[in-house]
Amino acid sequence: MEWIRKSLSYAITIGVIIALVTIVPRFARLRVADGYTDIDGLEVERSLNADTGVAFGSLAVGDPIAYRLSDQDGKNLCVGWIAAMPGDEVALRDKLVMVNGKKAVGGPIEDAPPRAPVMIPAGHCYVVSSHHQLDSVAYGPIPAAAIRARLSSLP
Amino acid sequence: MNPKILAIILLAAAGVLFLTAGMLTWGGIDRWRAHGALVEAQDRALAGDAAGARASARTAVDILPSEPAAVLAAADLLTITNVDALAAVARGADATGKAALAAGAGIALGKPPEGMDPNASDLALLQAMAARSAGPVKLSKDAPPHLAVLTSWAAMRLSAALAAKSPTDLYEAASALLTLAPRHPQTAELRLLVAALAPEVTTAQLIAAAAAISDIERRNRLGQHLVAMMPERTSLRILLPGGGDAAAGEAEAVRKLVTAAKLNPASINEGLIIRCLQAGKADAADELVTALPAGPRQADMNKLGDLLDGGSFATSPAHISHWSSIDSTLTFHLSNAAGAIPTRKIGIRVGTIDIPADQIRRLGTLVVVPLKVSGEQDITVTYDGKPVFAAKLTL
Repeated sequence: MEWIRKSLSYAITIGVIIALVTIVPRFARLRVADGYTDIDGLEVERSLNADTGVAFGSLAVGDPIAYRLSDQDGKNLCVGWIAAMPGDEVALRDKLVMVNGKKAVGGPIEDAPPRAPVMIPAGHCYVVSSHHQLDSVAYGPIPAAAIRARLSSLP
Repeated sequence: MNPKILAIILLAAAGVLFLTAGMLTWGGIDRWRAHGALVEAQDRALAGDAAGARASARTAVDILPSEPAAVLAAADLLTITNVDALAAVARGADATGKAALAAGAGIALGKPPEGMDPNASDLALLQAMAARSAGPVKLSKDAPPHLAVLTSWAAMRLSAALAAKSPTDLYEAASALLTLAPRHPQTAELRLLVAALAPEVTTAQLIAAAAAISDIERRNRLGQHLVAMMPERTSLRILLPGGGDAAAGEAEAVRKLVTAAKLNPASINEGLIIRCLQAGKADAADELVTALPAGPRQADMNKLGDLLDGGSFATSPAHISHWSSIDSTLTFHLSNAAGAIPTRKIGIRVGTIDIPADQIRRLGTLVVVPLKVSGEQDITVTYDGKPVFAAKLTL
């Protein structure tokens, strides 16, 4: 019976160590160097004069904003300009995003055939950036809940 | 505690964990099987076989009877009986599933699901969905629809437009889906639809869109749909095996694609290379790679060809990597397509000067040449007496 007792005691010890190694880090908070903070706090946007308390209804076409994409790992924050608000019609023509028939901000989209206009749904806005890698061209309309701040300008 | 009791407790706990792991694994296998059945249902729906699509979806329902996605795909939403069936399933669904089923029931009845804030645009879209109308719907700018309703309507409209063979509706529906859901699982197919149906599109854009669909059967099926829909648009025939001539076969279609793609090397991509190799035309794939400017992209395409073709892809004499000129030396890699080290004589001319053979250092595929000139120079490289590179470079 001694060997059973010893084996169980080893198994329990190893189990506790595995649990500690895998579970404890989930509760650990990220330590950030002095002068910086977690992106959740939007400290990084201080240099961009972020208005974190902005209401969706007060945003307008042309506003630079910071937003988060749900499937982006980590705490990456994306920035771009609002090209269209709910009710506006977005199309693609001559490799450019067109809103209500007029050219929107943002750079051209390479190898993109023209697209027919579609209305931006309620509670969403169409956000464009210079290279269209993390904006609405790549991810679709951005929901109001994903918007973190209005910026005074974009670099 | 008595060791015997402790041992019994731990064994019991281990047994429970083992059973839980087994159930989770079995659940995973079930979801995998159901997913396969749903993909088949999507394929059948794309081919216009609505009854077959529902039959495949019913297979998924048999495996996962409480999965709303499967139940929705299996249901004929135009009959009230199935709406009742949806409601029965909703009892076992989670919150998201209940919302999806409620939306499905709402679509079937042409009215907003319970709990949804109705507005004129939502209502108009739901009624269009209930009627399976492929036509446009007038939306109110002041009351824009909800994303879920708009996207569902665009998906339904796409399917209805395919069945009705209506190019305008199909183009608008595909455009809407691409704009609202650019990460849709069938984005490649949507891009081809938009490229094929757009009022203005280049052959290169059409080729690039078609080549992005690596599944040759799906691409051909979609091509056949499009050509049947718009027989007058001859440029679309390039999407068919044999360019629309059944006797010519896939090899001739590949030949036409390669000829068109070589005129615009930017349109050459992985899909096109794969299509060449699938058609047994390694020489055509090699032509495409050779048409690309020397550099990482050419190297990547070569690597792809080697992987797919078991290494027999290399027919070009040599491939040259990016140039680098630092500290009075010029370096580049020279190899065949499979990455083998060259063994024969390499000749290099910079401007009007032939670099002596004893000054050309070769370290595997890396070639290092001393530079005595700078600025813009004509560079010529020969391998085994045959020219492999000639261009004007700034050193």
